[in-house]
Amino acid sequence: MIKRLQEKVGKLLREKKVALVIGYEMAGDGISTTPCFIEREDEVERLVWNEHCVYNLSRYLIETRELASSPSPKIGVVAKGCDVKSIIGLIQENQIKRDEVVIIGMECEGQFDVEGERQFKVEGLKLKDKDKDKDKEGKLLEKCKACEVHIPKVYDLLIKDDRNSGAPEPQSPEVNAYAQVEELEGKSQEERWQYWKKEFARCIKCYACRQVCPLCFCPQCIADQTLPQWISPSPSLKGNTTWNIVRAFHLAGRCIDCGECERACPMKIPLRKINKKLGKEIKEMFDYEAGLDSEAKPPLADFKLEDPEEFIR
Amino acid sequence: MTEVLKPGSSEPPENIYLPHLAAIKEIREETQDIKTFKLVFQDEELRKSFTYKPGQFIEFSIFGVGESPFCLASSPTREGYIECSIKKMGKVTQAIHDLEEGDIVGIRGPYGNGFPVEEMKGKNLIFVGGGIGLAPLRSLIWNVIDRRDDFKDVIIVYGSRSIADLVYKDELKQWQNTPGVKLTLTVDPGGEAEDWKGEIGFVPTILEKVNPSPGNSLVITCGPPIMIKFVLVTLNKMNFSSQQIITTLERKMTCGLGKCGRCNIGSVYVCKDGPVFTYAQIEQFQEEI
Amino acid sequence: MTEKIVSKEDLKKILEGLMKTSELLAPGKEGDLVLFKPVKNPEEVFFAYPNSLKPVKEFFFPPREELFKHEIREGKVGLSSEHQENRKRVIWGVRPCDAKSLLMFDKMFDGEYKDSYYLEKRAKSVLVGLACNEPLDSCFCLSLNAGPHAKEGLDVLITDLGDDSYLVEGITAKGEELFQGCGKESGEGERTRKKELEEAAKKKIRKTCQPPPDLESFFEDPYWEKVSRKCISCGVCTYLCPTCFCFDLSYEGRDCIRFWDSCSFSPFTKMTSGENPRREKKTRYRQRVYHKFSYFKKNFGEIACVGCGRCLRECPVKVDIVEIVNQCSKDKTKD
Ligand SMILES: Cc1cc2nc3c(=O)[nH]c(=O)nc-3n(C[C@H](O)[C@H](O)[C@H](O)COP(=O)(O)OP(=O)(O)OC[C@H]3O[C@@H](n4cnc5c(N)ncnc54)[C@H](O)[C@@H]3O)c2cc1C
Ligand code: SF4
Ligand code: SF4
Ligand code: SF4
Ligand code: FES
Repeated sequence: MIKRLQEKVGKLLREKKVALVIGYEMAGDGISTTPCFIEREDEVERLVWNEHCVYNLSRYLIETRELASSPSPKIGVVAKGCDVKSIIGLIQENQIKRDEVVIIGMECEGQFDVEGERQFKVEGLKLKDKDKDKDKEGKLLEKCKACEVHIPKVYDLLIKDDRNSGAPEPQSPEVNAYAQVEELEGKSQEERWQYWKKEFARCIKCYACRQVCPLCFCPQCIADQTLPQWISPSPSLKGNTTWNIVRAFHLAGRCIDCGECERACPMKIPLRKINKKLGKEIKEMFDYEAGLDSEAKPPLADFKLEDPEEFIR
Repeated sequence: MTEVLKPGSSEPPENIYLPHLAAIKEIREETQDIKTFKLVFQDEELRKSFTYKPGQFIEFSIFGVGESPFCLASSPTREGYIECSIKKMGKVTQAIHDLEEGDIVGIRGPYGNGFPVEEMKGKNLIFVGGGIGLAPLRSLIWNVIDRRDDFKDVIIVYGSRSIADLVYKDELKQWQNTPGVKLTLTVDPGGEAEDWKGEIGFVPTILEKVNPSPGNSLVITCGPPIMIKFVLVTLNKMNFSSQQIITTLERKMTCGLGKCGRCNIGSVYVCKDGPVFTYAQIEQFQEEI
Repeated sequence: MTEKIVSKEDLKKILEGLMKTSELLAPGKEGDLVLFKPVKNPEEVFFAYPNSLKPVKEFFFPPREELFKHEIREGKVGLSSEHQENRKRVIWGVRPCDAKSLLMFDKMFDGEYKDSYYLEKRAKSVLVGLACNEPLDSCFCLSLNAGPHAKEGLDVLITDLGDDSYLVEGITAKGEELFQGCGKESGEGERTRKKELEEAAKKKIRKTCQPPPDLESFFEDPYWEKVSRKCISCGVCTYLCPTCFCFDLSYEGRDCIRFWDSCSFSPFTKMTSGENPRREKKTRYRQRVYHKFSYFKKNFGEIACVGCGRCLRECPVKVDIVEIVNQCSKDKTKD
C-alpha cells in the first residue's frame, strides 16, 4: 500500500495537480506516525501508511488552504474513511471547496491506540517490547470497532489494502456504536452527574480537544471571548463543565466521530461519549448523520445555551 | 467616605499581587472615549511614600472585573495623587469608564523602568506624541516643566485623528504659554474644523516641518505603532541617531512583574525591563516589536 | 550525608507516619493515568512508575489558585488573602528531572519580586526523590545536566535496589529527618548495587539533546515555519512541562484567580487593538523553543528544559522538541 501511495502522490506532485500533500510519516520513536507535509516529489518516500495513522489530517486543510488558491494547485490529503467525513463537513460548512482538495482515500482496517499505549507509559514498558500482533482486537480504537466506512465514501484516489484482494469486507459493524452511550443512559441522573463530575474535574483547559478537532474552526472560540466572558478561563469544575458541554453542543450534528478530541486529551476525558450522545439524539430526531453528504446541511445550524439536555444534567 | 476593611489577619508579609486601594477623586472627559482618572490612595502613608518615574505604569484593578496596565500620566513632581488616562477598549476599560467619583479601585505598582530622566538633564527634549500616546509623555512634560531649569528647550509635536480626539486640551494651552516650550498641534487631514489654528497632516510630516535639530537633543515618542514607524523614518532623515530616540513599547501584560511570561521580546520582558527603550536597544531585538 | 538501607515494610511505616503528621502526596493510578495525589493508603503509593503525567509543579504553582478575595460591604472595599496552610508537606516519589525543574521555578518566582504564594509552598515542602531505574525512550535528562539518579533539588533520594530493599540517601536535613530511626547502615555491596543501577539507567537513555550554543542567528530561518506546521497550538506541551510557568490572572466573582496559560495560544499575546506579535503559529512555537533554549539561558544561565520527555510523549501530533533543536544545530554545522 505504501509504495502505491508514494507513487500516486509522486505523480500528483510531478503533474502539478497538487501543491502539497498532507500525509503520515514515521515518528522519531520508530513506531508511531506523525503528520507530514510533502511538497516535493523527492520527499514522497517519507510517506507511510500503517495501523498507527490515527491523526485526522483534514484538520490542516483550512490552514493550508491559501496554498490551494489560484491559479489551481490543490491540496492533497491522505484520508481514512472517518477522516473523509470531516472533509465533507468542511465542504458543507464552506470552509473548503470540493475542487480545492484531492482526497487520497485509504482503505483502512482500523487503527491502533498507539501513543495511547498508556500501559507502557504507566508500567514503563518499552515501545520495542510491544508485540504488535498480540491482542490486535484489544488495541483497536473504540471507534474502529464500530466503523462503517473502511472504504471512504468520497475520494479522488483510492489506495486499497493489498491484503484484501477482491471485494472489500462487508461494511456492517458488528459492534453497537452507541454501546457506551447506552450504558450511561441506563444510569440515574445523579449517577451520570457524578460520573461526569469526576471526568471534567481533571480537565486542564489545554484546549487540545478543540485544537485537534477538524470542525472546531471558529475564528474566535467562545472560550476566548472576554466581552462577555461566557466561560471562566481557569480550570475549575464549573468552568470545565461549561467548556466541555458548550463544545459538545456546538458540535451536535456536526461531529463526525473521528475521536480525535478524546485521543488528544492528555487527561483522557471520554469526550467521544458526549459527542456521540448528541450525535445519537440528532440521528433519532432528524435521521441525520454528520459527514455523509456534502450537499446536506446539519440540522442544527446553531445551538442555544438554554437548550434542555438531560444527558449531562 | 469609604473605609477600608481590615485585611485578613493572616495575610502574608508581602503579596506582590495584592493591590492597594485607591479612591477616584476626579474624572475628566478628555475625548469621546478617553477619560482621565485622578486617584488617591486610601492609605495616607502610601500617599506620601508612593514614588515613581515618568514612563512607569501601574496595574489598575476593578474588583470582580479585571486588571489592566496603564501608564502613569501624572508627574511625580505633583504629590499626593496619581492620574491615568484611559481609552475605552474592552472589558476592563469599559468598566473603568463606568466608574464614578468616590469609587474604590485597586492599584499595583509602579512597574517598569521609566524614562531616563537623569540623562535628560541639560538636553533639548523633543516630544512626539499621537493620540493616547501623549499620556506617558504628559508625565514627563510636567516633570520637565516643574523642573524647568534642569532641561534645555522643549519641542512638543502632538497629533490626533481629529480635534475632538486631542487629549489634555486645557494643559496644551498651559504648555504653549510656558517659556522655552514650543508646542505644535496637528490633526489628520479631514479631522480639522474651520477655526482650527494648528497644523493639518500626519505627525511624521509635521515633525519634518518643525525640523528640530539633533544637536544635544533627545526625542521621546509615543503613539500608535504606525506613527512610530514613520516618525523613525523622519528622524533618521534628520540625522538623529538611534541612541537619541526613546520610546515605549506596548505588549499584552498581565503581571507587570516579569513572571507571567507574555510580554517578552526575546529575552527582554517589556513590563520589567521596559516599557521604555531607546531605539538603539530596539534595533537589537530579533522579534518584531 | 547519611546513607541507609530500608525495607519495603519500613517505607510503608514511614508513609503511615507521614500521613498523620503532614500532608502527604505521592503518585497513584487514576484509571490509565499516573498522577500525584494525597495519600489515603500507603498501599496505593505507586513505586514503579516512569513519571507522572503532570509534573509536581502543580503543587507549587497550581493550575488554578485563589490569590485573594475582595469584598464590598456598605460602600467599603476589603481585601483579604488567606494564609496558606502551614502544615509540612511531603511530596513522595519525585523524579530527579522534576526536582531540578523546581530550581528553575525558584529563579522565576524569587528575585526582585518575591512570589509569596510559591515561596511559602516551597518552604513547607520536603521532596522525597525516587531514582529512575527504567527511564523511558523519550527521556533525555542526561543531556541537560541531570540524570536518572541526580540529587539536585531533592531533600532525600530513594533507590529501589530490588529484593524489597531501598537505599536512602539523605541530601538535606529536612530530608534526612523523615527517615530518622529506621533502617540500617548501608554496606559496600549495596553501594555497588546502587552504582550499577545508576550506570545501567544512564545507558538506557539514548535520546540526546544537543542544542546549538547560540540559537539567535537561526531566528529568521524558514526552518521554524516548517517544523511548526503540524503543531496544533494546544496547551499540552506547556501545561505538562515542568519548567513552563506562564500564567494569567482574572477575577471570578470575589476571587482573584491565577491560572496556567500558554504561549501556544494565540490570545496569549493578542492586544485589545487586535494587534498580535505572535499571530502566526511559527512564532508561537519558536517562542517555546527559544524561551527554553535561549532566553532563559540568557537570563538565568541555564536551559529551561530538564529532559523529562513529557512534551514528546503527550503532544497530540508528536512534535519532538529534541529532534527540532538537534536538527537546527546540525543544519548549522553544515554551513
Ligand atoms: C505599559 C502599558 C501602558 C499602557 N498605558 C495605557 C494608557 O495610559 N492608557 C490606555 O488607554 N491604555 C494603555 N495601555 C493599553 C491598555 O492596557 C489596554 O488597552 C487595556 O489593557 C485593554 O483592556 P480591556 O480589558 O479593556 O480589553 P480586553 O480586550 O477586554 O482585554 C483583556 C485583558 O488583556 C490584557 N490586555 C489587553 N490588551 C492589552 C494591551 N494592549 N496591553 C496590555 N495588556 C492588555 C489586560 O489584562 C486586559 O484586561 C497600556 C498598555 C501597556 C502595556
Ligand atoms: S483536551 Fe482534555 S484537558 Fe484539554 S481542554 Fe479539552 S477536555 Fe480539557
Ligand atoms: S507542540 Fe504539540 S503539544 Fe505543543 S502546542 Fe504544538 S501540538 Fe500542542
Ligand atoms: S521541554 Fe519537554 S522535555 Fe523539556 S522539561 Fe519541558 S516537557 Fe520536559
Ligand atoms: S506582564 Fe507578566 S511577564 Fe510581563
